[in-house]
Amino acid sequence: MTAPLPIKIAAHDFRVFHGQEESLRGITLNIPANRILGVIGPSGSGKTTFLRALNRLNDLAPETRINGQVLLDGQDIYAPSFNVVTLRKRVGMLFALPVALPMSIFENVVYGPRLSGVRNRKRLDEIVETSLKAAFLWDEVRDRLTMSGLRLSGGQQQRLCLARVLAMEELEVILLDEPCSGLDPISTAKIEEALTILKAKYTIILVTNNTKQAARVADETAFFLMGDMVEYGATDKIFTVPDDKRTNDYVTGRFG
Amino acid sequence: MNLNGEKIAKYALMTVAFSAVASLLLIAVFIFKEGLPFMFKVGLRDFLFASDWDPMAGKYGIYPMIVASLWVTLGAMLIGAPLGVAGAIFLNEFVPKPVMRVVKPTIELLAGIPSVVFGFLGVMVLAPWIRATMGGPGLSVLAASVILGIMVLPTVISISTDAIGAVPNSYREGALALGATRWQSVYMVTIKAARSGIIASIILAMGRALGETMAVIMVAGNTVKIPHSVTDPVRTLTANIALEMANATGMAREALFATGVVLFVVIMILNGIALSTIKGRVRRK
Amino acid sequence: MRIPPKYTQALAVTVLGAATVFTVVVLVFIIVFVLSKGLPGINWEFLFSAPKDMGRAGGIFPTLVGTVLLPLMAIAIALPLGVGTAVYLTEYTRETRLTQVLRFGTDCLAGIPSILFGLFGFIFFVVMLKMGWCLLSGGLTLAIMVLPTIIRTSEEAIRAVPNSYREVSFSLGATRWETVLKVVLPNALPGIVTGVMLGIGRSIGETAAVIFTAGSALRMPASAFDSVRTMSVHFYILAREGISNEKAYATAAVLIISVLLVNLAAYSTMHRFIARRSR
Repeated sequence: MTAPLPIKIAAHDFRVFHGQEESLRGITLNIPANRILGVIGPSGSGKTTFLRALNRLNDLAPETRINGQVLLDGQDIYAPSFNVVTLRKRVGMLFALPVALPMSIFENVVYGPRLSGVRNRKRLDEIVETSLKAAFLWDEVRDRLTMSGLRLSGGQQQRLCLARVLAMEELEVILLDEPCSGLDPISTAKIEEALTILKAKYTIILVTNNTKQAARVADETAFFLMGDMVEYGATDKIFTVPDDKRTNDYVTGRFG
Repeated sequence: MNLNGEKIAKYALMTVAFSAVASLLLIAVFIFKEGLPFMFKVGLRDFLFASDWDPMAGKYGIYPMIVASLWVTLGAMLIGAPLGVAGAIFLNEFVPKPVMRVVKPTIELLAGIPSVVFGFLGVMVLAPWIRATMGGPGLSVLAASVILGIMVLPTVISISTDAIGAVPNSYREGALALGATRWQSVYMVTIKAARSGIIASIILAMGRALGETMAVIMVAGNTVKIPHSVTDPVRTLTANIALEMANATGMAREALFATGVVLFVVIMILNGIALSTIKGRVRRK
Repeated sequence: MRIPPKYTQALAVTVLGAATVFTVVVLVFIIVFVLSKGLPGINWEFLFSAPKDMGRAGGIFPTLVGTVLLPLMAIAIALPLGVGTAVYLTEYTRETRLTQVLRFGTDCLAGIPSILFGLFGFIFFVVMLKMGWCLLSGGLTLAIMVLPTIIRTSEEAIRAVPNSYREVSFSLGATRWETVLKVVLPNALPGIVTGVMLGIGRSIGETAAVIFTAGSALRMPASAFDSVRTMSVHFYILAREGISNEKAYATAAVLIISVLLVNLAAYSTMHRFIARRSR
């Protein structure tokens, strides 16, 4: 029997309310470090709400209340003393629609490090090269770092967003919210390949509408339905012999 | 430490944000502080409804100025409102979009012409013509009304155009589909739908005409007399303030502030009505 | 007998068209007329030398300087206040009673006629604060006049910045203030600049508020506490005192050209801003 994996993020009976509505009901989940967790489920099941709770981006939406705990390395991220800005540097996010900031590629990547106070030009150049390489974008843009990030194609912009997140030194967890939904298969493959390499250094949580992607890439998978987490387990198991009938119905395509 | 800076930023901005309201309150407080006591000292009847304006002799009747302002403003609207609304309808409904996109900014650009230039032209061109064709000194109610009417045209056109442009196309198409001509769909449907915006534009323009000073000083004649015909020279409330301000002291100065109070109140009411008319529409959208 | 709709339409279009053409013609005529009478009087000497004989001869240079300095001072004061207000309204609050009061105040301020600003500025700055007729009095008064414009255009420009940019900035660990400074404001800059130019355009043509606060001294100002005369005030005095029609037309021509140039610059900035947005 293998030793139990260290837990990076733990949720205890975690609930999220948007106004009167309970978007996320009592999620209890232990996410091991340095693994890829796939989060699947139909639209409206709470996957994105869960993801955004992990870097407290939910705080920005009006009338959002939470209940329960989310622990990062054992600390409750919703505790009043917990620094939300530091949280977001440790837990980075990629959105469904690639959003390059209206700046040059270089400025996009160094946005995070600059906020942390990195000023040394040489250091910034290093960060840019390392991050873009890790996102499989370096070769395509190395000669045009001063070009506006908005001029890249969709797939390139998404990889730019990945590089941007990787540029943050404090990064420990990467959250991805359907990152490949608008992308061509080649860009998708590049991102998936990057994730498989990156999990050695980071914990990765990937929300996806594409069950096949979860099957390809995720070590563990969680199935969300209507605000509940129905099942969680090794990907192989979820996709072949899941415990819950609803999980089975979803992964076999009986509803979507 | 980051978050402390955040708090400072937030409160600093909040303070700054009140600058506009603070200025408004300051202005209102001042004008009322200087003007209101005067109105009670002299009494509303001897102020608003007396015709004797002679500060040296202690007489502060501004009735002629009130009548003058009313006549001039009304005259300006009689000219500016129909022309402006007609222009707005024409530009929006009967003119191809590219032409409209050129003409509308041009008209707004022309709105930037300083009022003193309008006044000057009134003196050099319009007044002599009025004197030649209609008698009187030329500098008159009519001259002021025409000049003001032209000056408020951009306001009326601009806001009415926005109101008409905001009418959903489905309304127009609905009428056309029932066999109406373009003109019929305009006056039966579009104008009715844009009615509140058009009215708001006219009321706002009225406020502007009422508050206009420099152009009026130049062409209205500045005689303190109740007008009996449009060719009579008059002095409006605004002209009165401007002309007397430099030399007025004591009670006379307070009288000017009291005039300011009257203007302030009336214009605020007009603007309030206009804005709430527009806002009512926007909220419904 | 009913007139067929086709004919009422033709009639309506003719009437409306005539009204529109009349409006445009009148407005264009004004500009053309003033320019035709005034342009001949404009030359290097006119623009850059001092007036002689109360303006009957010589140039308008001090008034040119005044016309540049006064709006500049007004913007220097109104810009931080206006942008700060706009930032506060959009980024730091939701729509509450408070913001409604702020907006109401701004709208009211925008509706006050310039003579009342002149009255207020005179009593408050010139007399009460004993600043006298000077650049500072005029600048402060104009700043309050221009404030609503800056607030409105800045707010619009800031609101136009896509929310996704803000979200990304937050997700990278920026605070709200950092996001405003590094992402929102740079992006809203063209819109804000448009507002500034509109404010400048309005200040250039402003007379009633200026004459009672900045005075009408014809000398070159040596400090912020010196009185200045702007072109519009100079023009007004020339015209009303009947000093020189020729110089008056020339001054008016310079005035109109300045205002048109500034407004044109404002519109082209705005259009480039909108075009960039929709890309």
